[in-house]
Amino acid sequence: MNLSIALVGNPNSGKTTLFNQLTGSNQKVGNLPGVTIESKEGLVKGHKGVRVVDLPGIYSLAPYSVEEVVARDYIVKQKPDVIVNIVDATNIERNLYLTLQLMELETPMVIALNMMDEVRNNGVFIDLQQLKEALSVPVIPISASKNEGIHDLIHSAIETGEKRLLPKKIDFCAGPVHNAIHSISHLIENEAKAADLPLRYAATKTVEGDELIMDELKLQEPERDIIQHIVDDMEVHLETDREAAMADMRYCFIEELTNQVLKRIGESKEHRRSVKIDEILTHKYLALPIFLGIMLLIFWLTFGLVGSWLSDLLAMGIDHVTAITDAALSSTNINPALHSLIIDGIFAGVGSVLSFLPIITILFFLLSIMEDSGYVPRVAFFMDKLLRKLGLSGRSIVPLLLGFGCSVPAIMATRTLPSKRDRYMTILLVPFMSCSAKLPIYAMFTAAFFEDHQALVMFSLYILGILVSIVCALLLKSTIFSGKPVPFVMVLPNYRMPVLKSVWLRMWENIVGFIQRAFTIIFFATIVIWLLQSFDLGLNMVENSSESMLASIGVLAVPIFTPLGFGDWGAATALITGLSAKEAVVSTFAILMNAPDSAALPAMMSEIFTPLTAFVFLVFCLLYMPCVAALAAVRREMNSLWGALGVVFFQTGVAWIVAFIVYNIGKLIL
Amino acid sequence: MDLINLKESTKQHKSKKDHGSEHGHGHDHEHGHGHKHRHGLKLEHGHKHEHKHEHSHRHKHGFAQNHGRGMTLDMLKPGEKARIRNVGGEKALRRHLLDMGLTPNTLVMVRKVAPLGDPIELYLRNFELTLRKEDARHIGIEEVAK
Repeated sequence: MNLSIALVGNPNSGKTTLFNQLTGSNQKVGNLPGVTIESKEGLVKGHKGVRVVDLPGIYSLAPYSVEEVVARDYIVKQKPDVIVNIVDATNIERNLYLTLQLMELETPMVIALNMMDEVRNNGVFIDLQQLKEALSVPVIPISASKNEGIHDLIHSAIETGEKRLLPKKIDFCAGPVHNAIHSISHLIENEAKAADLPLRYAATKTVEGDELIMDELKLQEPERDIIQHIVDDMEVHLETDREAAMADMRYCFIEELTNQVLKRIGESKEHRRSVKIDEILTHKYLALPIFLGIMLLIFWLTFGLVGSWLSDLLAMGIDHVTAITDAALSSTNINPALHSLIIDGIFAGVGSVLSFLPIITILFFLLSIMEDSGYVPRVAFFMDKLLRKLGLSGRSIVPLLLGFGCSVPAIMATRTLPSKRDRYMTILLVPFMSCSAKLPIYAMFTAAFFEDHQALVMFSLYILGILVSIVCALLLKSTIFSGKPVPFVMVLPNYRMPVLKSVWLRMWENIVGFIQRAFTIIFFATIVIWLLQSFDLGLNMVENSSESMLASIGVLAVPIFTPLGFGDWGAATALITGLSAKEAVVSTFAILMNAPDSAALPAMMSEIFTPLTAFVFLVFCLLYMPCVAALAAVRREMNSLWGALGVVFFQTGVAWIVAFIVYNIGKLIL
Repeated sequence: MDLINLKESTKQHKSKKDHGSEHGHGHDHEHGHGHKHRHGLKLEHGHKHEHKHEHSHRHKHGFAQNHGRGMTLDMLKPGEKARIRNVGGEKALRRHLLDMGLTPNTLVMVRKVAPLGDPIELYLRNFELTLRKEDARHIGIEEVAK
């Protein structure tokens, strides 16, 4: 058997949960044809040859949203054998609006009526038989989160697909709209056939004034005129315009249908509960403090309590493996260069990055819970006004806050933002949030130079990062991202208990992505840095890294840093190695200065830095280009190498300018 | 907030299609004229909508515009209900609002205003939707008895 299923439905209708139930871990992430919108594809468990594609969550098939155009084009052009339309039974009106449009695509279709457990628990009765007859489409009650009805759904989908059972054309509209669709159907019959578009779909979209479809139909001037006449007539009769008329007709049909098939007793428990929870979580005065509290808790769990413990444990494990390998290599009398490559290059580099894995795992676990619970849209809701002043929307708040932990998951989290403009702008600002890997640098420098004001100096760096990001946001907003911010029309779904399986799968996906990066780009980068660090320009292996190529490059970079007050090759070299991971700045100083132990390091630092230049150096560390792991994430999320290079120049440029200003103001004051 | 009440009052008013009354000048549709029909007031999204057929007579969205008269959705206070008269605004946003069920004659309630005064949270058709005030200004409403 060879059958393809397209999974379509509203956001928050349980689509991803259903997809996970259908495929298990048997799924892969890919881009939809021709666009960079991500979709997942998987094989249905227990049914060989049955593929399912998870299309983006959408509310309609309008021509203005990329997701909606991608979804409709996928169905019309890729021609899946059957559509599984997932409908949230607790929100049946809004969900059926999409269903009515999907039915016009002349593709076999099955409705998966999800969240039936909630419906039943609330004493709501849905007449499935009547719904099925009215829509002429199989309706299968399921509960994706409880794994109920999935079996029936697959069987119905396979049967419908194999027998090519098409939904009947239903007359959801009467009067002038009906007449207009009817007349236009006749008029464009040949064009629709030539363009390989379903006739009914082409006709309703033409009535709506959908330019994309009208262009695809290659309508000639006389036809366009006739269509315009028909539509004008309809608009006059209905005293409304074409788009409102169609939307109104669909909703009227749905209202009548739901009045017949739905017996409601009252508002659902889940909805009442959501409203109650929101009375606290989006409360006028409590909303912000609670949100900050939740974020602090997440940070504490991730970077403090559990995360650091696990990270240390993993680092110990890696050290152990490194030591064993080291010993094994020594005993085999292997070439010292190769030995150094493996131990000092690969093991040290990849190992230091891998030790971030527990932090990333825990962070994504907690964030997945936050996301699946329905809290994130609420945060976006009450933060929107603040962020809009910066040209962003409320939804950018989560990635920005994550940036204080680690830029990598923060940049990955921008994926949830609906507009490309917001996504790019947020990615550019995230690295200004001082990430936790910079803490060791701050710790070393403040211990050496600002012993009495350690906390104050660290705090000032965090604040400076935020201030710089605000200034940059305002600059970006009025220059390259001058477009209008996207409207903020967002559904607030009911709060729900997160489904463990979905949380786990999402976490797993991110872990796999991170490990893949660790063994590709970071692997490569650490080898390059090792090469530069271990050889001189004559390609002889060096004993002391001060003679290495890296040091030579550091010397070349000195003039860049001289105006900032730390024109020292060691500082320059440390900044370069910091690109592999920011903590490497500290270890580089340790190596270059030949410090006997880490305690002796601060004293030796004062040979290079004055307190002022030390602070300027910290400012530069705070702001300059992110580490390779973060850049790899940028490249992936922007889907462009140029984008990542843009980030490099943007961040480093900003860092230099701010450091220069701080240095010169400092010189004036001190 | 009682769902049933909202539902029933939607039904009661369904038959009463009265949203044209304020926009009477949309009716004087002049056939055969070479120029476009224009209102005295500036159309806020009409200009993008005019495709290649400059010569064809038309009256774009005359009914769907909020003419600056009457109540708009941003004026409602939390807990207040209203019935939608018309939906305006930029083309893509307007269509999205219609798609989300903000169609004429639908009953909406303002659930709450965000802590910083914007956006607002609406309740309609049994779900909650957020909207910025500047976008809510394009939605004409009439208040319903409390």
